[in-house]
Amino acid sequence: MDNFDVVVIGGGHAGCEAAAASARMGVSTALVTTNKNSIGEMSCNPAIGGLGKGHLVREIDAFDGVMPKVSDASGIQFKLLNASRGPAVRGPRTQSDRLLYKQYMLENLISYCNLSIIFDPVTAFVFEKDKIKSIVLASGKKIKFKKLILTTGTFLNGVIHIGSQMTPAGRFGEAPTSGLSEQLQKFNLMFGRLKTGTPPRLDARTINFNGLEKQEADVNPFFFSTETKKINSKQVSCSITYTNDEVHKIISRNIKKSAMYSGNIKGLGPRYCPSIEDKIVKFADKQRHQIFLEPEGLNDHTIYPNGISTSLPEEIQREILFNIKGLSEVKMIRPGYAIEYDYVDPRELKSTLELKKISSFYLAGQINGTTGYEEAAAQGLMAGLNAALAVKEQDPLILDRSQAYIGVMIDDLITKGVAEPYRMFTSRAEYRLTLRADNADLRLSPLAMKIGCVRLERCKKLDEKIKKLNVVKKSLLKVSLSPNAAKKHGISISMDGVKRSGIDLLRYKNVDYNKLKSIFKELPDSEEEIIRQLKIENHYKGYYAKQDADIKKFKKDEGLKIPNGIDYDKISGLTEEVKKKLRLIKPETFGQALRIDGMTPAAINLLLAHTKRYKFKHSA
Amino acid sequence: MTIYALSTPPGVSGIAILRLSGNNSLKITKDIINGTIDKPRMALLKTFYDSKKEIIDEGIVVWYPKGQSYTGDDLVEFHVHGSKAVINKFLNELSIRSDCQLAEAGEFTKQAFLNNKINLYEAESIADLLNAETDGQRVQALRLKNSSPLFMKWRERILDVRSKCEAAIDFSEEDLPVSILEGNDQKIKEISKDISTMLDDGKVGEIMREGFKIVIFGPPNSGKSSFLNLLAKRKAAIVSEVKGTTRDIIEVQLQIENFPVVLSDTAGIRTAKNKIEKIGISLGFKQIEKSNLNILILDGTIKKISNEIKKLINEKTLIIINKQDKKNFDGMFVLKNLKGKKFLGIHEISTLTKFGYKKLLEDLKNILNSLYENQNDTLISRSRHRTLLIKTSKHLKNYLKISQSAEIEKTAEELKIASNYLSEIVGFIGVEEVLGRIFKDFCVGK
Repeated sequence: MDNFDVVVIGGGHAGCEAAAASARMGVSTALVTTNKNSIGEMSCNPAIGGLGKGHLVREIDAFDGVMPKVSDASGIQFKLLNASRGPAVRGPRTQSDRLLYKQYMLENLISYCNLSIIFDPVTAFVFEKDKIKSIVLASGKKIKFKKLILTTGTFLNGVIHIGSQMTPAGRFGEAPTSGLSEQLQKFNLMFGRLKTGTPPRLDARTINFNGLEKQEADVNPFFFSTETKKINSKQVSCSITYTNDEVHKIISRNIKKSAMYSGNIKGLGPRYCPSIEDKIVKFADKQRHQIFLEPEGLNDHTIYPNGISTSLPEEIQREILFNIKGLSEVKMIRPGYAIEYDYVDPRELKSTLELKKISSFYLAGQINGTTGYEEAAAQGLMAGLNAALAVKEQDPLILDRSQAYIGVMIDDLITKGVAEPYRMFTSRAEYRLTLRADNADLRLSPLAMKIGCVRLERCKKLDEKIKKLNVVKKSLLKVSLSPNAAKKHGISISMDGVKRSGIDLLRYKNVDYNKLKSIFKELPDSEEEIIRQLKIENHYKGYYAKQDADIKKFKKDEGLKIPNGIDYDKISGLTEEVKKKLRLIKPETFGQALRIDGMTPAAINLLLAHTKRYKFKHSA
Repeated sequence: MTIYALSTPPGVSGIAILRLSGNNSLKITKDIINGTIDKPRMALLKTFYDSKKEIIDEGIVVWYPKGQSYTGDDLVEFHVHGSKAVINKFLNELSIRSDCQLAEAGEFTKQAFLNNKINLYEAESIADLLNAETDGQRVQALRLKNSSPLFMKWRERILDVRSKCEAAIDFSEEDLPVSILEGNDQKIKEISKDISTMLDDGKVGEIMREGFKIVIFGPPNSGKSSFLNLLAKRKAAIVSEVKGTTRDIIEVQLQIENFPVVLSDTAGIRTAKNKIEKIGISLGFKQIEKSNLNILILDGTIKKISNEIKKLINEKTLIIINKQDKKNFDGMFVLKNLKGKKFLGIHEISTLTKFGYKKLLEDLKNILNSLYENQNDTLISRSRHRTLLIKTSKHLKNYLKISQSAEIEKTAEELKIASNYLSEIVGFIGVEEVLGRIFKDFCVGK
């Protein structure tokens, strides 16, 4: 029997990141998946990043993760979203070549010498009481381990819907995982059912791109990894086309044939990613809906028509396509579909992503009710790190809402659960102005270095960067100009008699660091990157005081730990509903308890009073 | 948890009402009436028994079922005879049971709030209602309760504007209406204006809660303390012929025309030699600044009015010329002395013979009434609300200041801060609500 410290089941985005994170921590790790082809598969749109999502990828990079590097290497259309807006809400994104992504991901994983990759489907879990001990593979092989991370995505009892046709599947053409779900159900885990969808795939050679709008890549790309310095792959553009009245008529006429509207689908789909049927029904007065024609790769003719996810029958999908500008003669490679799958209510998880009811068993990715590659990878990272930390008997790594988007996401999941597939948005982050994509490394890499998941050379570079930032910042704060003096140097600022420090002067048009250096000879030499970072920091200066005060208050509640094993039924005065939620969620801190829906200040006070009594009793 | 309390004032009365609310209230009622209540919201005549099955009283019982009661839980009202013996016996019976407990002050309201029967704002105004000691305060509490739709309107508007801002940030790539941010500034301007109007209510709401502050001032020995005692109908201040008797501020709470009034007597204003007296006088000056109405008491037999006093006369000063009973009283002369000064009104009285007192009282009542009538329908009665609204308003103004020039995430931040402050009055606006609004109003999702 093989024996590992950490075993990861699933080779999707959560699985890859989890396995790599665990391996970086130096423990023996195995990644178990069905076949080589499924490693790093982008089953939906061929893009990584975006608003909120791009933040997550940058944070993964701060922990030296694999997704950022692989996305950069396979990126064929880099675009910084919200580039015209402030740095806090800019989201890096790239279209990636699907095949290159898989290839680079596999290469990356193989480069870890303490990571084994096993292509053999899992058929059973072996438990010892409420602890997971080993797994059995299809070949009959058994694997023992200390910690297990399950990342099966949409594969748990997945069912694909195309019109009225239903096929059990995990992804198009791949069998679902069944049996495992039943084994987990014995532990009384709460399961739910969600739905998501994907559009048909088109053959680029049959599309007439003439006369379609184009979206080009950025000239100066913003990469996901601070390690990436230049573009690796050729850049391509996307085209944009639109639905029209005729298309809307076809959909309305056939709406009952859609699996979404025939009653076949019970699971809830995401509101921010509606099917084209939903768009027509819910926004009937909208004249047209845009469709991005996204290439899936450089040597691949597949086009992903982003915006028309559907579960209508195949022939109706064709009819729709033929009526769209540029697609009148298109060849549909495969139809769009809706997929329903089981997820585990994430309120079953601790903040380390370990199940409360099964010890040593971690869950990450879509199985926890999220959607998106980035959300999955971020959970994979945290599960991988925490599983490895537990093996090494070290303290877990918990990121809170004031530290990272990752912290916001995990806290939302384990505290509030999900009603629809969970996706990251910048609006979910209370401390949006400080949690930026540009400072992810400064925020998180020190933590990452402390637990030891960053390679030495990167540590050195980061230390250097922090040092340089401090030196330049100090020097800039030391120098200043009065409005009059500034005018003499050709810098026009309002004549209010207030002196501006070097940092403040950088905010003015036609002032750059070189200009300041020509005025103040004592300023040290500096790279553009350092100056850019300082300028961004200064950009939100007015908001830091309030945000810092808020964070302080937040941390105070977060620091109040709720002891394990509280019997909530014994607290008189709590409503049954609140008790039920507390029993389920078992908040780890008072801060978390406060964020539970339906929790009231009165209930928190009771809880606080009870905890004090409890602690007293147990220490007596 | 099941709670009970006497809901009518303690003491002897025709009837007294006891309320029982919570999961066990029906079971407890069953024991007390030795039977069941089969119809909700119906006044039923029943006999009440104690645990030994001895009769306590006969009276009316009403059951308000769960979800349709004030607290939201099963609530039972017992109308019993209002004698001390009956009430005590009844409360005693309940107190020895283990399945219910005596409610703390405001706990019924708290329960109602926890069951989402009322919002935080309403809960607080109902708490005020319960605490209302005078009729005027009661009316005010009712108004506050009815004004909550305005607060809800602001909340709704801010939610609307926030969702548009957040949509423009998080879904900038989507096919959103070009004009999505149009009209936002106008909406915020209106709320900002509404809040300013409400804040500028002459603090009437607070006056109604904390009492209308009247400060009595004047030269030494002009009869300030006698006047206070006359109004208060009791000896609150020490009255003597010796100048400088009143050194501390004396505060008396009383009721004029159903309005709560806090009357403060100050030390006589003169060039004090004594250090303690000096402190007393300067305290008096501070009181005058903070008050809602100042009453200047002058001695009608003394013709000189010091400059210190003249300086203190303004539009909220009511002048009383005292000692009308004295032979050398000369009201007209005093009046001439005040030429060019603006003040609220003037009265000649005698605290000794009560001459002119009735007329003065009428005038005071009118002042109080007009103050109340001139008000908006919406009042801010809690200083906590006022503070929160000031903060909300500040950040809405910040938003307006930068909305045209700064980046959207900064304007969104100001809106978020503003809405968080407003939330403390009308309930939290969470990100789910903002997102829900976005997905309802805009077709997002590629």
